[in-house]
Amino acid sequence: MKSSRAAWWFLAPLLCLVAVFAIYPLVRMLVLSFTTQNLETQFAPVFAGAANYQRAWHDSHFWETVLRTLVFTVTAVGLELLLGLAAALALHHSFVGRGLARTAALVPWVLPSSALALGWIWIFNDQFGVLNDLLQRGGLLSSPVAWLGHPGSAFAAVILADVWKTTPFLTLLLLAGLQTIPTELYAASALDGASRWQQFRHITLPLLRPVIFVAVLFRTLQSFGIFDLVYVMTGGGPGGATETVALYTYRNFMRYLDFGYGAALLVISSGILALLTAALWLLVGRGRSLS
Amino acid sequence: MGRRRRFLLPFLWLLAAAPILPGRTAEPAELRVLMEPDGRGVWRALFDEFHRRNPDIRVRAVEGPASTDAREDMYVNALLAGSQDYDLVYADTIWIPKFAAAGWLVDLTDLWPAEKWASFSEAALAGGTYKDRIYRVPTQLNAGILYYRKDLLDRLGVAPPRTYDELADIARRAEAPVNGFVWQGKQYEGLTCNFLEVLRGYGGFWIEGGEVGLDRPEAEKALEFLCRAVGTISPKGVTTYAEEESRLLFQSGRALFLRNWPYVSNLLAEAELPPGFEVGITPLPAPTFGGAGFAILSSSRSPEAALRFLEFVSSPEAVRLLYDRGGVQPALKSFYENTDDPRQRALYAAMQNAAPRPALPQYARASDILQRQVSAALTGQKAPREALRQAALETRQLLARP
Repeated sequence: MKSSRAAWWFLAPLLCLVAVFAIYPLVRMLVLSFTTQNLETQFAPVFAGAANYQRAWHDSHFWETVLRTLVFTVTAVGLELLLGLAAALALHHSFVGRGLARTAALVPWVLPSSALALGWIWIFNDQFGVLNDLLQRGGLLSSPVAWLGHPGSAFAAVILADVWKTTPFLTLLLLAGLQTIPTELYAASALDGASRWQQFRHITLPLLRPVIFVAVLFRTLQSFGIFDLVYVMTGGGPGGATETVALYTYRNFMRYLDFGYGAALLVISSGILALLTAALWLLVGRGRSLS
Repeated sequence: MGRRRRFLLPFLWLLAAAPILPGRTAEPAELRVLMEPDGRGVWRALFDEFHRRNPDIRVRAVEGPASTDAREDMYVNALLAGSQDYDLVYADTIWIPKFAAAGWLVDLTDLWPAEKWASFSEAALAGGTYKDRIYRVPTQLNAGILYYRKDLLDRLGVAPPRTYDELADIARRAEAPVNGFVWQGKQYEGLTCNFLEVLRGYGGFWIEGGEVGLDRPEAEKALEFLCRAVGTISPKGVTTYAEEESRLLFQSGRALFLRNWPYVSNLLAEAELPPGFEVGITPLPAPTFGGAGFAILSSSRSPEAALRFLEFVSSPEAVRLLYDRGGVQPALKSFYENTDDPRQRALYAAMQNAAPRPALPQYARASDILQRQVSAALTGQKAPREALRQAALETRQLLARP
């Protein structure tokens, strides 16, 4: 009894932080989403019932950004998981210079996204860009392409930039996960004549599952809220082809000063994220775990 | 005692989390302002000079991000939270309607006589005006300018163009690897400025007196001009360019015409240019204005000190200092009347008729609507007519919203 009271005291600072930085803003958003608060009301909140939600329901532009962000999230996180797993498996084996390779692999993750985005703009530039230069030298392109100037290639370019930046994060988590798997399991299964693929399929993957779940969940939440890369690289263009939910919501808040509506969009996106998390849990998180 | 200490624990945590309150002193008066990055120390020099003349006032300038959007966000955040973190705003022209409509700015109209206001370039003054009231002292004249390769035009034996059709005719004669015309076609505020210039150049308008002119024939002509340019007189990548991408293309000798702002003129003057490269400056048919200036926040605790700063920053000495130290393009007419520099005269001639963007509190949304549709047309996702009809529809809905 006494020790549990002490535990609460130790938890108190953390709970305070969660209350102040997570619960309070969410509740505030929910309240705000039922009001009109913008320039016309001189920023005084006026109760508006469900008007903002009705508006959001008919805002086809918003739903386009939701769909686009979902496609982005699934594609980017999927690629990151595959590449991250491959990189983690490679870095798990000992070879000369492994320490250096492990450190180097983390560099993209450490660099600020907006600075990277500026770099990518120049890489994809049609006149000075290194990508066009390489492809033309390799004979794959006859004339330079403005990669960020077409809806499809601009979207792919943003995905590529995101994959390049965040694959190291998955590599790091998965590598840590790999190191918790006892080596005896591999030795024993080798004695029983298991192939490398069988070992991967029946030892590595199941035991890595909890880590994969956490890593993918984390990345999904982050990826659904992607803002900085898009904001700098394309500004949502061309023709709105790369505008994400976060960018559109930000514009409603900060640029249009339409707080009630922005809050409604945020509440809706939070709901979608909750569904996404539930789906992930059903797909990956449930079932066997280390314990 | 043990119980008591435990009781105090949460309060200690609260204390640790509380921000450290800034110490306040009555003297000297403080003026706080968020500025652009001051790499060359231009603004620092200006504030030092101001301190020298006004020992009882201190300017506390914080260097913010280079992006005006980001600085606007910081101001909006502070103002919405009701904080009194700032006294002055170093404001971009498109902030003024929003900030004035929100009641955040001091109406400066009657603080100075009309003659004093008349000493500023009309374009720069209009860029700080909302509903016929002046909210901002302009410190910078900034508008779209047409740069051209004087050497190449001389060789072709043609005069600089006065309309977009003339420009296209000349630009077609550019030979690879030189592009005809480079401008800013990325989906961002710069695209709005570029499109607005062409639109006005063809006699059209965007939003005037509550009317939307985007689905009129002039607008269609303007957008068709830009769509035709992409991939012919302009490189395909122009739809991804902001200011710097287009400047570098021109500066490296690979463009006949460049639409850009006056900052390029200073950079070209300092840069090492390819042999034979001669820069010409000529007015665009209808340049868009976009300059900065200072406004006073209604929440300021030292409005009088702020006013003295505005007096100082609009004095010929301060203007001269900003120009000499940092190439800040002056907004005072007298500077251009007294200069012998032909480049400055050409710049002034190119900018004096610049017109501001629509002074609407909902400007940001109107601009986003336009950018999205124009960009879609430029990148071949929509026909110009269809894009403009959609933009007109959305803009009308926006203006009709209570």
